[in-house]
Amino acid sequence: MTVEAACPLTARDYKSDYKPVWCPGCGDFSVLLAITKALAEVGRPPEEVAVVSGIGCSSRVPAYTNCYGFHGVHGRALPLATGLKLTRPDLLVLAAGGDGDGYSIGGNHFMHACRRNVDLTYVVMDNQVYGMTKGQPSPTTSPEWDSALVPGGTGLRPFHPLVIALAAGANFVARSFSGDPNGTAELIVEAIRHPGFSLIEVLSPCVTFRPEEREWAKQVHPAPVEPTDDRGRAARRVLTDDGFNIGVLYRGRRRPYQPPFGQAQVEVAEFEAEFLP
Amino acid sequence: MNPPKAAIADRAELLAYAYAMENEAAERYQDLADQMFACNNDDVAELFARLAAIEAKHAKELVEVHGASPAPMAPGAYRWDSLESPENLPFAEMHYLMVPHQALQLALAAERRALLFYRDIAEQTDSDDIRALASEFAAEEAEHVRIVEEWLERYPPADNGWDEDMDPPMSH
Amino acid sequence: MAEARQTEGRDTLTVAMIGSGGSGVMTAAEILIRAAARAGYYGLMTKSFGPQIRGGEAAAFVVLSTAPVEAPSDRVDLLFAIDWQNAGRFAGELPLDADSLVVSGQVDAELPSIVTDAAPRIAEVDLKSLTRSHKGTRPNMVALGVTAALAGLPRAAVATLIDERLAGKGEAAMQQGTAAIDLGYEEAAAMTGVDGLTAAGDDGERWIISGNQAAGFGALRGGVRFAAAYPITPATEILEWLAPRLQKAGGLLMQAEDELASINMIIGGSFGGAAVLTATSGPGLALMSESIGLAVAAEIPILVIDVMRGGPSTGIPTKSEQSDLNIAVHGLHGDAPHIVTAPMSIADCLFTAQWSTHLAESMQVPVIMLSDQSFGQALGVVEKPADVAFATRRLLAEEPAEDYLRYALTANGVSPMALPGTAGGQYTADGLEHSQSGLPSSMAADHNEQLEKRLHKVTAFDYGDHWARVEGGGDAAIVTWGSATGPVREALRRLDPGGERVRLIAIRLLSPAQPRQLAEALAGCERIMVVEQSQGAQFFGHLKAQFDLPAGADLFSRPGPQPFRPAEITAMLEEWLS
Ligand SMILES: Cc1ncc(C[n+]2csc(CCOP(=O)(O)OP(=O)(O)O)c2C)c(N)n1
Ligand code: SF4
Repeated sequence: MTVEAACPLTARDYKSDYKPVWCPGCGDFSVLLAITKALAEVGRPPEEVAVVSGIGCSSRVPAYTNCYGFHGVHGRALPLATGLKLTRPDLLVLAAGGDGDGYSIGGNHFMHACRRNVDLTYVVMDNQVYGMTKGQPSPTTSPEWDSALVPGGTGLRPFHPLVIALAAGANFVARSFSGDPNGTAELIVEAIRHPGFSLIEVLSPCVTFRPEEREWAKQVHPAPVEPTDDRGRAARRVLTDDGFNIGVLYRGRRRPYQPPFGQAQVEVAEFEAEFLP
Repeated sequence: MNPPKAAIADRAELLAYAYAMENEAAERYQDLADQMFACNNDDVAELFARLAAIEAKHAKELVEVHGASPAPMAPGAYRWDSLESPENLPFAEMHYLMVPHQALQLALAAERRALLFYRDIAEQTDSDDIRALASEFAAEEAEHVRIVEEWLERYPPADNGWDEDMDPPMSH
Repeated sequence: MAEARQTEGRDTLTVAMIGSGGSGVMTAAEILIRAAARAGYYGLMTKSFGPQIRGGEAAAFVVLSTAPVEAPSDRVDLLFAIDWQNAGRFAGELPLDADSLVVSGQVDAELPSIVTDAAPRIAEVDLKSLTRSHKGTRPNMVALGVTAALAGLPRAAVATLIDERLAGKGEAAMQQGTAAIDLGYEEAAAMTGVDGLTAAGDDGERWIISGNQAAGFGALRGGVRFAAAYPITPATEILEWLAPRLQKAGGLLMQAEDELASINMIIGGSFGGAAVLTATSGPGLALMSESIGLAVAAEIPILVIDVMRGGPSTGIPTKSEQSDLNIAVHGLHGDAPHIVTAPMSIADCLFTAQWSTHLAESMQVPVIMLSDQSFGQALGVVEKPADVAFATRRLLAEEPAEDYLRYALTANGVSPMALPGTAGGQYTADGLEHSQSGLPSSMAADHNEQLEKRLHKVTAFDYGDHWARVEGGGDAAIVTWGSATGPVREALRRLDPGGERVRLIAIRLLSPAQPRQLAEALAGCERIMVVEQSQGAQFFGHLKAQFDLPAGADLFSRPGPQPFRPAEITAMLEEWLS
């Protein structure tokens, strides 16, 4: 066993024994693998990592890792992760969830997390559907997609998370595909290392409610251009691409938001003086 | 995604690739077995578990017999022909109602990819040492291919409508 | 130099100052109460405004007394109007009568009917010409001088405060400031009609503090170092008081994008090990309720301070009401045991916030503290509150064993919590029902076990005497809570100064209910009256349902926005007791 003792951590060390309940074929299995691979590569011990999520199939990720986890309420992963990171800057904090969780019910937090630029990595498993509640359209679903809840489709223009992230101030924006766990892991590693708020939008098929998304494997391709640090240019590119460009799209230079925490300059008792008349 | 073969520089690198491939395959088969157990497809689950054991043994031998290092390279350091290491069954190919025959066909394809991977290296390298090792590994994969082919014969192909489910999906 | 007139004197004096368009009544009134505090008096200052953001009509009410002041008073002894614009809006808040003295800062002004109807004594001060002939003096400072003089406050107490305030603006400003005060004292010398205060006793240190400051300070003392919140009246002052002080104390206040974010931010901070709070009012509490349930399920200690205002919906943001009790106690989904506390005075906001933090941390549970606008935005001169040192400590798993279970069943229901960073303690906090390990489970056994554990930890806890304030004796009892307590105590002081006829039970721990303690406190009582400020008698319903309030108890309840005045309670009790 001496060989192993000397070994750095592997993806397996970041995985718990708790077995996923996802449908076989679901993209989220690969994303979980990518996350654990990325954490192994970054090398922080599991107890120094916290994985925070909301509710949804994809939000089940925390308990499948061997890190500290928080499986909170629907849509609120980012504020919870923000509160944790602000008070525990020593931790590596990763937020994860779905497109419904992050862009619909949690949409306001998504914008403000980008804008606040706390050093968080946010992995969104976008399957363009609400998986957990049996297949309703999400903000990224195409307008004509027919479902029981919205017969004939929403008729609404899908939400563009990457452009919104860029406009709101995210410091790192990338797109990846679940079928490429190594590539996704690489992007997550880079996102973790990049200071500030990083968004990785992972195209992650829901094979149960969107079986046609299995075709994504044939549609994705590496982004034909280098990442940019120009927000406007990045936004134009993602607005005009086919939605299947994979890779880092934007690397910003904003300083992360991390006000000091934990260094007291005064004793609380000193505030008593101000109540003297 | 460039072919890595020509890039294999030395024995250590070949061992690193080999270990990554076998180890990932072992872990993947185990994950797939777990998935199938979770949705009560025990037949397929058991097949995957057996395949996991075979691959794990192979990975172990790489370390113990050949001195491969179990330390992984960075996820981006590997350059496979495919999105994942060749011997991995993609998660995306799974279906909870799949029958053993389908599972074994996927496994067969994976083992063949592994065989090809080593064979290509053996054919393309200039190094006798690498060629010898790669050929040895190719032979082992050929054996795996043979095992899977043999298993395949025991199971009938899927019927029409194999993926039909009378019940709606659960919501949570 | 004119000094305050020394007369027979009175124990309590109520002053109102009104004015519009930035006339500076609030500043003047604040200096008045502070000067009185320095001279050894107790006091209470409340405010009322028009809806305008700037330039609207404003009124400050200041009660000064030789004894602790617990309630707004029944009448106004002295009203100083810098001007009379739109003064009619304060009808109902300005109880004048024939014994009141009204000083008009304008000569020959047309007085509004709220004044003329009461037929008080009238005096005039020509603020306009006085300030014109004394360069640099301001009308509100002259008004302050007049008011302080009539109240019998020593001139020096006021002048020193003016000097301190204006020190930054240079010598000339300080001189003009004191000159204005002197003008006021001279004008007052000629006035009659209101007796000043008798000399204050010398019975210890005074603090001047608002309920919101007190709540913030109590939480700081309790160990809170992280806050996240979204601004809302009347809770914002807690946040604005805390923000710079948390920074100095090594903490942080984060302005969140909404209440959904603020509650989740503090849950995240607490998961990481910080003692945390958010402060809000009814609408914000409603938004937070889902996530408070999460903190119950995941056993995350948090403090939520709700400074209640008139509801429902946007309601009356600047007025008080005790109408969030139902949502605080019953507003969570599922069976979600949590703690609800309420302070019963401005000073008690400090104690209750500190105690609430202690309860949250000790039991790893959310605590909702129900303060209200009448505490939060009022400024009190109080006896210096005692520093109660609770041994507040969260039970941590510092060296988790191999078989560590985050939600292990323990004798008192509280399980050691592993903080991120602790090797071997990794677990996932979850709003899904879970087994002892924290892993999701929908098994009946786990659900029952964990429900029972979470209930047990809050019901088995020893709350000591803090659950209520119980005083007096006799066979009648008043049961009340929160800001209704002050007016009730004042009424009882009048009706039953010896405390022999009527008991007072003011409940600080609203949930979990303490029926046994209430029964003990009520032992031997034949008549019970419940006093509260809500339309729906929420407290009464809660007492009946949860505290086993004996049948036949009477109720006195009405909604805001007007605060209870002691006379209203006194009249009610007189009739009830007869
Ligand atoms: C407040 C609230 N509203 C609704 C739900 C029900 N709900 C659970 S998951 C979900 C949508 C999940 O979709 P998404 O985030 O895209 O995740 P996926 O399941 O597709 O991975 C909804 C609506 C909930 N849990 N909480
Ligand atoms: S329903 Fe869709 S998203 Fe959910 S586990 Fe199944 S495939 Fe994945």
